[in-house]
Amino acid sequence: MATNRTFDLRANPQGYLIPHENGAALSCAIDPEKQARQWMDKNKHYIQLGLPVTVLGIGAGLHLQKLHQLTLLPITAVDTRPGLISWARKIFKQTEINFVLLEEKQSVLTHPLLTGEIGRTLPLIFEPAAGNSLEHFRTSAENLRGRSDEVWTMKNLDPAKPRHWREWAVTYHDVLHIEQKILKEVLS
Amino acid sequence: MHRQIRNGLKAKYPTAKFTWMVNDNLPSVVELIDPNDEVQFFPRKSLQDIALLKTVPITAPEGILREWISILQDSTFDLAINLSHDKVSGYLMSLVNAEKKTGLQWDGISQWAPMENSWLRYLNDHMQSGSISQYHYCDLLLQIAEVPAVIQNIRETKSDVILLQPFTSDQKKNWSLENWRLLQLWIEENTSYEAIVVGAPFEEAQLKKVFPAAAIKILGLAELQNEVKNSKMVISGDTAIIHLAALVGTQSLTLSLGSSDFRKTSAFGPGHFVLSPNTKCKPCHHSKACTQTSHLCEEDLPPEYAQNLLDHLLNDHHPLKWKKAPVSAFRTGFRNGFLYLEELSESKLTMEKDNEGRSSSLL
Repeated sequence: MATNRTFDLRANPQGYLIPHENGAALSCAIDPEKQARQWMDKNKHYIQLGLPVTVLGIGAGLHLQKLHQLTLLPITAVDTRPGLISWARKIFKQTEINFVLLEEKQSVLTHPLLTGEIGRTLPLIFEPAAGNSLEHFRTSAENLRGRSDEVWTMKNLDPAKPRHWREWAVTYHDVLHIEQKILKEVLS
Repeated sequence: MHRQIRNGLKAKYPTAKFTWMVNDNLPSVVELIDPNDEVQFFPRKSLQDIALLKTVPITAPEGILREWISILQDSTFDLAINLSHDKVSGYLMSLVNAEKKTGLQWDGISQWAPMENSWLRYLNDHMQSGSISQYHYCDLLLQIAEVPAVIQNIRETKSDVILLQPFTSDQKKNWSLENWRLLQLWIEENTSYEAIVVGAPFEEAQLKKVFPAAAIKILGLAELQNEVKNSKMVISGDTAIIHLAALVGTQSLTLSLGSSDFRKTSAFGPGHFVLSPNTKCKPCHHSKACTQTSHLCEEDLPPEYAQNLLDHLLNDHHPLKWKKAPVSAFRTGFRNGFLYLEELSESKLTMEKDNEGRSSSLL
């Protein structure tokens, strides 16, 4: 499917450039600003946790702009469309947002730029920008949370056991730092 | 109970400002803390909740804790005292910027800091469940902090209200609601006092099954403290209301059951009373369920003993008539600056009269 994709940018009446894939808009073509606000509002409780964020889906980029303007969080933006990644890198060149191409059949478990983020980043999907990649985004988000069977198996942890932080920390860290010592007690 | 240590610190350092570090699963304790003090919540419950949240990364608690630590380390203190004496608080102590630290602490590198204070060593050796201590928990913390006990005597009061708080934080320490109801009826019928039952909002439904609504007061902590202050007496299991009573000088009677170790955790003040059954398995382990086929310690403390002791405390000329009782009665006092509990044997249970001929206390 990825090989047959066509990608182009169309200006909406307000002047925003809206990316389209095979003719379908990858964000709201009428009011992308409102859509971005609603996305921020929907995710505000997670964003307030203060964790680094990985956004899956670039769309028109307004949700990335808001996230960048309203927080000081490290942001990684992931998409499956090379053309969209190139465009977004130019638009956001003044920011520290990190843009990563994740191809359709590529797993975050083997991606050189994303494996280090597994379990450590807050994955947030911008669904309007997913298009045909929605399932891929969902699987990738689950893996980035570090709670999927695939990740558990990769880390040599038993997928049948509960996804307990303590098991992860003790197995994953050779030396427990003070934060991990505290959490080991608090979460036991 | 820890406010006793704060009072000692205030007596020694009158101009000091205090910051409490409190677990965030106890937000209501703010109501009991002096409004001039600051409170910094340790996000214990938040970390636990977030760890279980499947929509966030598995190491999210670590990131949140790291952020919290960086905020903590923006402050510097003259003195940090660990009043909790558990592993988490010991680790947190290593992260606090303070010129002097007392109490259990991690050395920040690889091991627990040496316990150079002999009182701290005693606390460490004697405060676990099952170990016997000659000293009250507050006495040990006061010694560790090197501050005096600020002794609050029982206040004279004209109040005609006795507060009963049936529930504690632990089922093992609870007396049955039926026993509490019998005690309440006895007080109403045999003394000139009104017996009011108090509880937290989440206990209301259970209390209403046994007590008439008019006899129940559901209170927040600040309201409870006020109510305790305006009462003649407080009767409860081993729980926070007893310590509130000691702080404000209201007489208390503790019905010490289950894991309650009254020598360590009784009301920290003179003139309070404890009834403790002599059941062999008492005090039991704090964090484990009762191992007996029935709640033996509760069975060894039938309402008659509490009624009998109250008869002495509240009415004239009613000597105790305990023969080979399964229960012991104690009264708190201070000797050489330390709390002690005097067992009230039958020979000592005579009434003392004040100048106007009223009985005022047990000898």
